[in-house]
Amino acid sequence: MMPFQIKPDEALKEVQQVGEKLAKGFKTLSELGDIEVGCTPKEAIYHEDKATLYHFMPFAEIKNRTPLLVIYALVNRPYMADLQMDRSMIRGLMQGGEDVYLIDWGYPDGGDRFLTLDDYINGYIDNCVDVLRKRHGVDAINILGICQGGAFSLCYASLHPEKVKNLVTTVTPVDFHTEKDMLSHWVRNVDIDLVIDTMGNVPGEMLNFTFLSLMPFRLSGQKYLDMINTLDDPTAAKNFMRMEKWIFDSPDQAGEAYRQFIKDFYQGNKLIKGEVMLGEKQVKLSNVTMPVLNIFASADHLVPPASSRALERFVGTKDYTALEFPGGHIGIYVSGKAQKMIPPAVCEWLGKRS
Amino acid sequence: MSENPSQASSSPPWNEQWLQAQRAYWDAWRAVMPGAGGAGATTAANPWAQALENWWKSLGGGMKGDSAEVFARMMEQGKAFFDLGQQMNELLRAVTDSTAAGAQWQEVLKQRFDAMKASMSMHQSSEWAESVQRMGAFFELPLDMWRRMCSGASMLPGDCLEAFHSQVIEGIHEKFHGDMDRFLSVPGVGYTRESQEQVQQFAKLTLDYQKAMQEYLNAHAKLGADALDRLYRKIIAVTEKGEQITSLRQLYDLWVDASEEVYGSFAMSPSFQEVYAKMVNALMRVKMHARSMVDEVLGAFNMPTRREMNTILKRQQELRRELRALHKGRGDGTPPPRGRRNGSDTDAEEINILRGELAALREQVGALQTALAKGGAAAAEPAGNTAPVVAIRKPRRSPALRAVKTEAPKKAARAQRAKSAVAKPPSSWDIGSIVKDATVTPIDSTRSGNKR
Repeated sequence: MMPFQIKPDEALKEVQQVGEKLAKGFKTLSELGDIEVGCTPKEAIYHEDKATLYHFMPFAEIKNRTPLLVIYALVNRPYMADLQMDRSMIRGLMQGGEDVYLIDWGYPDGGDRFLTLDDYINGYIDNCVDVLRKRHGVDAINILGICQGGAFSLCYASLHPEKVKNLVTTVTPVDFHTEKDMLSHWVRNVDIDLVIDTMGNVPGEMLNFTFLSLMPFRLSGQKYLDMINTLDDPTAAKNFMRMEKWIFDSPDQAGEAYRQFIKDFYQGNKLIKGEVMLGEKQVKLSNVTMPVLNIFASADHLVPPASSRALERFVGTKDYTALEFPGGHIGIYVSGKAQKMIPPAVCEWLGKRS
Repeated sequence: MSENPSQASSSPPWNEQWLQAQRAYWDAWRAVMPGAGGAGATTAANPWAQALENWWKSLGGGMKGDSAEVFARMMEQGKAFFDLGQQMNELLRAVTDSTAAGAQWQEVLKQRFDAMKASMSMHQSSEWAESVQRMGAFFELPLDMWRRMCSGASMLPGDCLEAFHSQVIEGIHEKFHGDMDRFLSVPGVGYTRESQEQVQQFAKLTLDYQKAMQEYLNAHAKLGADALDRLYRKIIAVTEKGEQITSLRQLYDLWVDASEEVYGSFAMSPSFQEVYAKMVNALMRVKMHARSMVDEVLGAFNMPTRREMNTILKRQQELRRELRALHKGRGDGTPPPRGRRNGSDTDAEEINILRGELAALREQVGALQTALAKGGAAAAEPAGNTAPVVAIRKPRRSPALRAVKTEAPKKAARAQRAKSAVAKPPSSWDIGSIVKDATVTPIDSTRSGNKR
């Protein structure tokens, strides 16, 4: 059978339509105005250097009296978890009765060059946790870690298990040497000491480039052709622009923290070996004895599901739950499917353990 | 893909009548796309893409910020799509004509793809090659990034050795490097020997980087041809499933899938890992050496250098870390010294805690002074209940404390003393360190405030 059944007049029409939509799209995009992100009102309750601890203003009944602290990654910005009204994991959690807090790391600059993972985890995170423990009069709080923030949450829970009542990890890398881990493959032979000693902080631009390099044709080509088809709808265009803003909003990475994360986690795979040292303390996943809910995405191109799944083998808890989301690394927070699946599952799981 | 079982069985779509109609159609298309030529031919730009480009220029940057960037990316993809349409016109016409002449479409398709691959590998300027390059413009991004990094590493704009990346220079590459290496290995002499060596080293590192970059580019060179191979196989697979490609967009998606698969395999290969690391490491060495040279110049002018700044920042962070450890070592759950909580009630709470700290510190300093006055080191030997070393450092009063110093926070102080009593001293604590610490500049225990 002949493979093509493309009628030339229809092909012409297709090409013509692309041109027309681009022309219309120019008008739509010109009139979009500022792209606002982070839809849920929040107040800053604690600052330390560039880190800010936010409390999302409750709009629904708080059913779980144990506060939930969301720990985001150092790469990209945390508003991805609260992108817009109908695509917000934060709102979903609040609707489910959680009292939600979030650490925003801000934008490190040259003055933050020597911040280490110890400073982030045993410093900022621990201080934020203490603030919440005191504010709520509880010994331990619930923590939800996102991606690299999930790895930080695991480290924190290992070192301070008495302060973590329940731990939720989402798309969190645990085993950094799984077969399909492209990022890990790329950095294996890079001299990270030389990179950090040379660059100081790692530019956000370099991270953008790296993430886009994972799927260049889809992320730098096909996506924009898809976008052309939705340009006549201002709402869809604005949604697209929000995501676009988030993707390219990459803070620089504090040099020393980045050095350790790449060397110990990506190159040395020390998290599962129990060899990560934060200050003078050794991180052992076997110390993570509180209940753990591990959520990962089946089509994750950044953190392969196998990398997250590995947690079950190393964590010390007897109350371990895994939840696989049928989608990608970002879709798990912003897709319509995720709104219906992830926050209710987290709330239900936490509710049973409050 | 739409299945078309009826056509697959009794009524083949390439019967004579259909073929005639197709030829008429493609001729009409060709009239619209006057630039379309044979495989590998150098042709005029795609009129659709050209029109789009002209339209965009006529708008003269009427869009600002994020939207402008996004729109530019969409324009690029729009043009790539137009190019794909134009190439498809040629491809389908060739297949249709040849099939009408009795040839097997598979053979014609294969020949056509082979011609395109040859065109790409010979670096000819064909419409298809340009289309492929436009769609695969992302492969230029690494270069762009390295160019900017190079720019940051020297006073020369862009990648000063970019010209050497061309295929023309490739043939003399090894010889050129060998000659340059020997030339740059000539030892420096005389008063400016060190400076000569620095410049020589910079040139050698730059050449090393250029070589690594060339290897990286060479590794990428086959990607386009491999992607075409994969696309061809995908097209064949479509027919094997009894399906057909019914729109340009389907073909575009197939092309993206093929490109991603080829790129994905390449990016996970050991050879990519090697050339990527070599290029990054080589560039970092150039940049590091350039920084040392700049530092030398700055030092000569008695200006702060990057090295000095790093020393200061590192020490500052170590001090902050030490302060945090000391503070947390008390285990009293008080807020960290450099943190700042919002709200008047929390400020008042914090002031109370600071009052308590101050009272406890005063008491402990007094006790220590008494012990020292007695002259016996043994008298100052830390007991299990003594506060850690921070307790003997004389703190400055915070503005908040100065404002409320007349109010004796007896209750808070009592509570604080009770808490301090259970704090454990550091294991290395001894009177020697106490005396040493007591004589250094007092640590500012007030909150340092945010740098923001």
